[in-house]
Amino acid sequence: MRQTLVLAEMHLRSTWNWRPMYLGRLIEPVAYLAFMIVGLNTSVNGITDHGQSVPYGLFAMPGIFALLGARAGIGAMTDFSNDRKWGVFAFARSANVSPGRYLVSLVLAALPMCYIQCLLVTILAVLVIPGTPVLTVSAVACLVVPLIVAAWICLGAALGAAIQSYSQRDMVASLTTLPLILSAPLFFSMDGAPIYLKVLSWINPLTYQVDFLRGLVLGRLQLVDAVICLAILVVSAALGLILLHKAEWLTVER
Amino acid sequence: MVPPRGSNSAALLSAEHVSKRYSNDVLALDDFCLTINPGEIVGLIGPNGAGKSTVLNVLGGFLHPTGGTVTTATNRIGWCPQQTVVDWSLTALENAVLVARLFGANRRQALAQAEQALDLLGLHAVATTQAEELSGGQLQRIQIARAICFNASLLLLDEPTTGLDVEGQIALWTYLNVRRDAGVGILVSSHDLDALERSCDRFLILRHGHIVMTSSVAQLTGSDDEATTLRQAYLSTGEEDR
Repeated sequence: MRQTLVLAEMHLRSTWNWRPMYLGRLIEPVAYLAFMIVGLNTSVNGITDHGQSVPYGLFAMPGIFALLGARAGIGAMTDFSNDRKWGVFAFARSANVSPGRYLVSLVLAALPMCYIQCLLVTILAVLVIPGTPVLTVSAVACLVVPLIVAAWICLGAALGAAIQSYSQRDMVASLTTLPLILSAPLFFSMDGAPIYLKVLSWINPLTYQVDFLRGLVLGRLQLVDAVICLAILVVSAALGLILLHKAEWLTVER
Repeated sequence: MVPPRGSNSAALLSAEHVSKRYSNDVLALDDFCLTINPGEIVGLIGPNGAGKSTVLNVLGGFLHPTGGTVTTATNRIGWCPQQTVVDWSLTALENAVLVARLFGANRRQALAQAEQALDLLGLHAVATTQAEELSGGQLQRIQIARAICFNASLLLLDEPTTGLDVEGQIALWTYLNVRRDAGVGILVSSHDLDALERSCDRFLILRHGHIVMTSSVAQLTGSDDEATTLRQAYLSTGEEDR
């Protein structure tokens, strides 16, 4: 556990040292909420969710929480490919840090940023989205969002295990981020979407995670959503563990 | 009678018939065998592209071998690669402290050990400077500091003196000799044959991924052949290439 905390602290130091770069990531969800959702909320009266009409702001706000997960996944992919290039993963593995403990260190290091973002989003939602259930949203932010972030960090690190160079890393990040976010019903409903978009949304874990989050916020919790999200977490963790275990400790990129 | 260096204890590292083929199908290492004992410095010599870096990375476990086995009796391996492998987002001191802490030192010990290593390598003035702002030579010295900032039992050093000034080279070789006398096993690759000859107990000459000669200093100087210096021995193994 000590080594896990050492690695988590190192990742936090790294974030702090390069804080100007991370500032954009920190304010992104706030910007989505303050500008996009608030803007659309004034022009869209309501949206249908599971056959029920709900205010657009309340529909879209859980999408911000799901977005945090996807962003954390991309971040983990970047962090892990950097750690393999910079020798951090090599030294950690050489010092007997298991892939599992390395993954936990990534999650621990991501949590402070996640909680700050959740806090900002919750405060802003209460201020600008009428009818926001403060206690429910706070509980979701504290207890559920970190699990979704953890699942995406495992998936991101698993993807990072296959990356051998900066150019590959940048290409994968560019090609996956927007399709991942826009092929799930984070900010709009998929009910009337064309078939290709529906198919993509079915295979996108974000679809099930945002459905679960939305169910909690709108008070229509379904057990099946919780089970699916838990299954996504377990599968992601297993995938992360297997691929990190198989990954070479070092990329050979010069 | 004093036993010869490095031959009186169980091996720290044993490589048997190791090969490494990269994903681009280049066979960088073939049928490589080596044992490193406590208290010896083994020199690894070869032209650029001979596979020296691959040897050090595979022996340390940092790259998977394609064939053969590598067995190590310790996980306390200090590793200094040839390519720049430092965390650009951390300072010089943080890079060294991280490694010392991963290998068991508490926060205070790690700080002391890291500062000592940085001082030895003349990095005191830039200890709190981020790696991205340092020169190539300073980055190389950070890598050496990371290898020596904890009590490693085995040191794998890939051209560690590259980028060091003369004082730095002398300080490093003095340090390595002290660590050798303390029982540390060391594998070091370098193009500085004179320095290797002065400090190493054994040599391996590598060409095209193959070991073409292994020798101890005693064998070299006691040989009846014409090759009586490391330089001559090295050049004699490359005659086919010329």
